[in-house]
Amino acid sequence: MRLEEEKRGDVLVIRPLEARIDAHGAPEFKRRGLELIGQGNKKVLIDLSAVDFVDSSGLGVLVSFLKALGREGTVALCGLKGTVREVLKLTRLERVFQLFSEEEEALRALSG
Amino acid sequence: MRHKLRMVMSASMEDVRLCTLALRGVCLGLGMGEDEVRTVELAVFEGLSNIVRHAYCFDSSRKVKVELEVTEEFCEVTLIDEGDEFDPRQIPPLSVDHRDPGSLPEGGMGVHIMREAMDEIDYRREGGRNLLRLRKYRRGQQ
Repeated sequence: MRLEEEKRGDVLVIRPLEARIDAHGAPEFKRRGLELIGQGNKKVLIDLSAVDFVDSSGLGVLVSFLKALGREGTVALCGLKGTVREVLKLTRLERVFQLFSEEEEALRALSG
Repeated sequence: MRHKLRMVMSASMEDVRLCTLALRGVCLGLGMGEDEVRTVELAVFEGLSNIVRHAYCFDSSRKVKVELEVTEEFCEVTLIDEGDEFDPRQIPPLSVDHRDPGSLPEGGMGVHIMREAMDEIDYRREGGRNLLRLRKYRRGQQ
């Protein structure tokens, strides 16, 4: 699964470049994300603006990031499209993650 | 208006993806709204994904039949496989405590998505086959 990674201040931005995060790409996404968190990144912003569809496996990966960081860190999501927002709503996970419309807005809120 | 379509797909995640995309296109082409199609797509993807993973254990030589029926009143998708028995209704409801990240589930959300996305879920085991019927009433038609 293609991912773009960029450190902006103390925030790690991960941008999945695939249109779908499902059972096919989820294991690799999880492995890389947990590796980056293991390197000490405490604030993680996942920019989903290129993603059209996330299934339950993909959601599980986002939850695994949250659990890996625990109360010491933050996982925020931005750029959610219709179906991605819908699946977060159906699973009530929209209350679990910090959600932002755009990456710059999220960075302003998370930085510092 | 009553439209019916039958498809047969291989039990692979690639076919789950393609079949779901095909259903999306057909439903939109029949005049269903983007919001309605989105929820049906999510539920069908999870239903098919469960069959590939649990009923057929990724054996792509096995087949899944997918039947779509769209009327002015509802959109119904029936998934039929000959794999191991898997009754999604037996999966307990998802429990999410958003204040406690440690309690969040990393799996088991697929069945919950189906339940929440659709208005009716009916499962039956018949002659060695699993039949999972997912129905969504069209907006304003229920």
